[in-house]
Amino acid sequence: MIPSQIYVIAGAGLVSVGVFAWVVRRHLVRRMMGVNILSTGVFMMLIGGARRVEGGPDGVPQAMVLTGIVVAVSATALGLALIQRIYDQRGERSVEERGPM
Amino acid sequence: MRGLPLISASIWVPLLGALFVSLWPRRYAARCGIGASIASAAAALLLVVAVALSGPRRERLGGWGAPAGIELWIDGFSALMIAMTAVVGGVVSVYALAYFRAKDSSGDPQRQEVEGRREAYFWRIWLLVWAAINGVFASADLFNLYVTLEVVGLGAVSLVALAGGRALPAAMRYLFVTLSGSLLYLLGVVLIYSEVGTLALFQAGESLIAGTLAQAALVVMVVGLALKTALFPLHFWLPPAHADAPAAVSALLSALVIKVTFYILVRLWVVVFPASVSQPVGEALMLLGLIAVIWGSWRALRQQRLKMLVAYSTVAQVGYLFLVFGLGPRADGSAGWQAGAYFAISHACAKGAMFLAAGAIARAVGHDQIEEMRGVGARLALPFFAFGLGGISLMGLPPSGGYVSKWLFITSAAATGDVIVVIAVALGGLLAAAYVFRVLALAFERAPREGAPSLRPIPATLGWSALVLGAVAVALGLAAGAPLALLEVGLPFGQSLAEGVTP
Amino acid sequence: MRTRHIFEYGVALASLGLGGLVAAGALRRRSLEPAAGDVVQGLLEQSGVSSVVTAVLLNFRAYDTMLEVVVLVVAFWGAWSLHPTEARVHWRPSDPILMRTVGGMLPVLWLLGIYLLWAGTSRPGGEFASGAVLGACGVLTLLIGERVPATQFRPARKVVVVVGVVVFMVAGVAGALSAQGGSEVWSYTAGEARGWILAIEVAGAATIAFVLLGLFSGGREGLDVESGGGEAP
Repeated sequence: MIPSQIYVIAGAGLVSVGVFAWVVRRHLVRRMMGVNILSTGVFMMLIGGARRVEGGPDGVPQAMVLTGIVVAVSATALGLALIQRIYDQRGERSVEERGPM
Repeated sequence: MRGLPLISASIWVPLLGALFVSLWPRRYAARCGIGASIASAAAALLLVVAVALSGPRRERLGGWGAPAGIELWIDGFSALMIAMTAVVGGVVSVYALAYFRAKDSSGDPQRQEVEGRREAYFWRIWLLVWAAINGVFASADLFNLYVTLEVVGLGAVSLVALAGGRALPAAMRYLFVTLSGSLLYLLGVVLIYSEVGTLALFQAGESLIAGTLAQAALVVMVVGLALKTALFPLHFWLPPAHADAPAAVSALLSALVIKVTFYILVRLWVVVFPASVSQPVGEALMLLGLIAVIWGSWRALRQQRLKMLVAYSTVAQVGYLFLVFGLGPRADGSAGWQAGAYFAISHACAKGAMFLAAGAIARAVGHDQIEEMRGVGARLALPFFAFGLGGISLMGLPPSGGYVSKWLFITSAAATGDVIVVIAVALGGLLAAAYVFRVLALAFERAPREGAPSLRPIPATLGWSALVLGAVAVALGLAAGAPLALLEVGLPFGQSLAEGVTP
Repeated sequence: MRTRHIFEYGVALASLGLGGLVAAGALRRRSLEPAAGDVVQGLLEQSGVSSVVTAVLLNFRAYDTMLEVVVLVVAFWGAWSLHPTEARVHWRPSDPILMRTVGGMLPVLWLLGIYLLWAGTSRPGGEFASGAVLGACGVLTLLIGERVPATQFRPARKVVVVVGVVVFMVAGVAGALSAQGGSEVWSYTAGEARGWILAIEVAGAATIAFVLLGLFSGGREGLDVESGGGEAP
């Protein structure tokens, strides 16, 4: 097994973990973390799946990952701001989501 | 006109407008915002006219061209979607002018502060979302679609959260859905890139071969985008998010934002994936679409709140959109796809009108409990009339855009022998009639002698702008020729797309 | 409780299936030549910079990178639109070790951030790395109870949020005007590209650093000391 395949398989594993956490967990911060794990898995698959071109690794997936990380950071920050606002509004210690899903 | 970067202009004008609005003090937000909206609509319509007159357009950003650079591509399908965004977006902007203004009459400074903040942020975020929606429709690059999709998603979540209160948990759930949906789409892009080595939509479509990789990519992309379009059974997030947002935002979400992911799915189907891979998935999507039509309409019928009713109606209407993935590839020529595209634009106008009307009614009555609207119809004739016009299109009564698209659906389903589709489309129309008339009948009952709800005065703009959208939804049935002709430009669903038209 | 367990096992199976499907697809890939990366390598000399990643980010796929800054801006506006409540968390640093170490490190971090910006044209670095480090400098400054210079001036905040996108657009229009033949945005020659890429990087790093700082503070403490719920940028 070549090393890049390890990254691909580990990335797919992270995707599974992320999706599971996002669907099953109730605590909003945990669900946010699930989405982040999912994004990390996607980025790992992107890097692991990149082929080599002459003169080094393919530059396009690297640029894509950089873009993806910035998007993930922005989204996480917005999510945490929302969670904090929900927390303020309910005046509770723990931020569980109610209702289905 | 040939050489001008009109596609970029249709994206840059609203983007620049958003930045411009943000630089001014809050009290100028509405004035700057409506100016920027008019400019954005004008830039979009200029592009659409250019496409209608002189054919599809392409821009190679930076002069590189695919696969090194990003290309923008506009044919009849994307032009029609951009026109839909301009019309609905323009009318909703006018509505928002009155909607966010009218509230601060209480004199409470803290309340005015909150309202002023809400208005200021609505304009800048909405203009960014507008730019990104046009960006999706113009993009011919798989990764660029992901980035524009994220701007639309994060902007839409922020707009829902503007309502505060119970909209915040709805916005949170919407955020999770929109993020995971785009990430699953990105996962598909990653797989496709690792095989074909290009992100350009049309080149990827030429090189992708049927196989395990294509199947895996299709499945994750379909799950992600169906989640974001709220296809049954992944619709759980839509009703609270669309119903609890400010009315202007609800209209934008239901009319435009869900069409964005639908558009990407159609492009993937027609351009990227080999038919042998997408065929079985398309059949499954059609089946889910049929269930969504019945289930969504049934749930809409049983709602207590007017905006919830309209939101569940969106769940049903999304079902119709997904019929095209079964019908489109099978029907003769491009009839099935055209039905879907026409349904998308007529639903945008009809649902926009209904949400705007529901917002105006709720503002006047003070809540949106349907049971307590007994007898208010005569005093709120304008918004209820707009609600009814939108309803006509949802039921598919002639003459309306809904009628034309359902007729296209039924003829292409009859040609392929899908009797169950014909039945479901008819049944969905009947259920739509039931939930629309339930509201109208109650509203136009004779008012109870005592305890008739007292109404607050609302700006006339609210009713009139809803009425304009409702009128457009009906007019789409009277003048279907022009939009359908536009849809033929560049043959977006034809065979020639993959081979020749991309110059 | 029983149904909850069944639900969890079902979801676990489904997510494992999804991961397995994706892994199987990725491992079965057939590489077709040439990849976009090869084309980019071949065109690198015309891009105005020698780092492949910077060339892709700021020239070949400049449009994506502009939209990426837009994503940051929309998240920033979204977070700041959630009006902060009365009950604000007050952070009063008292730990002497924190004060000393951070106080000593900050000048070095500032330098590192600026170095990364300058290095980006030829080796790893660039506006995002630089913006992230500079944003972290701002966060540390807040954590030791100091103000970040200039951020209390509302006009300055408003300008710095949009400048990263505006310079991108100016560069695009300049490219369109100078292009021979067509009028595609951002199409400039290798000589012009270098200058524009530098301008984009400086402005972008400023926006990224400030937006990250603003997302950390969430429209409250530090950045908005006097008014708290006042007008955001």
